[in-house]
Amino acid sequence: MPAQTEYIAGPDEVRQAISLLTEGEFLKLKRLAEQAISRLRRKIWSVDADDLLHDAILRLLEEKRRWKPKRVDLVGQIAGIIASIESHWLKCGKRSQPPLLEADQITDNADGEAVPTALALAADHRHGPEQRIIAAEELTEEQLFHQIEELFSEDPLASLVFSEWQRETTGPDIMKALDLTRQQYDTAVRRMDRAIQKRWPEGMPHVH
Amino acid sequence: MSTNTNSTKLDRLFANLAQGVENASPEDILAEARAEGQDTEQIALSVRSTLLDAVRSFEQRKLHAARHAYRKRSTELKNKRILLPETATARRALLISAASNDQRVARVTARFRDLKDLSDEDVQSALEDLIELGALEDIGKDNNDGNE
Repeated sequence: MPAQTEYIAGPDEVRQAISLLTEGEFLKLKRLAEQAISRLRRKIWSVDADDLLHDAILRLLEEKRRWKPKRVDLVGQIAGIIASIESHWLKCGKRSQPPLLEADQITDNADGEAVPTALALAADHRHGPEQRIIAAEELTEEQLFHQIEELFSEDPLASLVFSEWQRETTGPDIMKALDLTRQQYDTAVRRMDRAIQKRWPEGMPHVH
Repeated sequence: MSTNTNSTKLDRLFANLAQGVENASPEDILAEARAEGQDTEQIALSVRSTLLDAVRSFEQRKLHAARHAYRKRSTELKNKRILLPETATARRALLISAASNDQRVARVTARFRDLKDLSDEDVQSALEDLIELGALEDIGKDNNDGNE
């Protein structure tokens, strides 16, 4: 029915869908957002995983991303929006501009008085404490990869996978060579991901 | 200067790590986080709260836009009302004059049998209704004499 394919979810429906998400789905969304922020840290400092998730919902409701609940689950839809926002913010970062958040669109309060937006606050490009620490930690790519390798010193499978990645071996080829199922491979990858996240919670150091 | 964005090796690492999460079922992610001792309930509650806050922000933005439109309209009306004559006699004269010269005003005032018998408050109210309807657009140009 054409009317159904054009149907876009409103705030009540999105709220309802959020309330139906499982604990695991919330965790998956959080990790997807954290990974995106970790990648963005190379260029963008003023946003975190919560900003990204907040903006994803605003974009969903602003119909910049049309969600048809009957066809795509909310987690899948938000994952797609996160990827889109990441790409957009990365472009902003490359132009040395702070990212424009949907939440920044409000520029005055209910009384019509101007309020500083997150965008305006983010426009302060002075290095914050986190940025100063990580900037001071700048490494060569080789040093960084060596430090990552050390994280897996007690995890032989992760260590093997990581060294294969450095040789540009693809996931399917690694699975084949090591006789791993998709699940075993993905589990090892997530273990590596968590180890890296734990070591550099604010993003990996810059490399030169 | 950082050249991370040009590093294909680092990009490949990020892409490989991302796949592990993208391919994972929420149940696997939950089980692994619990096994690592993370407070999964607290994390889930926090994400839930962030998402619901965003829905509220969206609704407040709509409300904000409506308030803004209301304020704008109110200011416009207030500015127009300032153009009404200051004295009750002059306002009544304006209403009678407008009703005799403009068919739209005559239609609006037809419910009153005799404009001369209207209370001052009703005259004021009728003029404000006419302003809102845009039927007295020219009063500022033609009827400022009552204010002087």
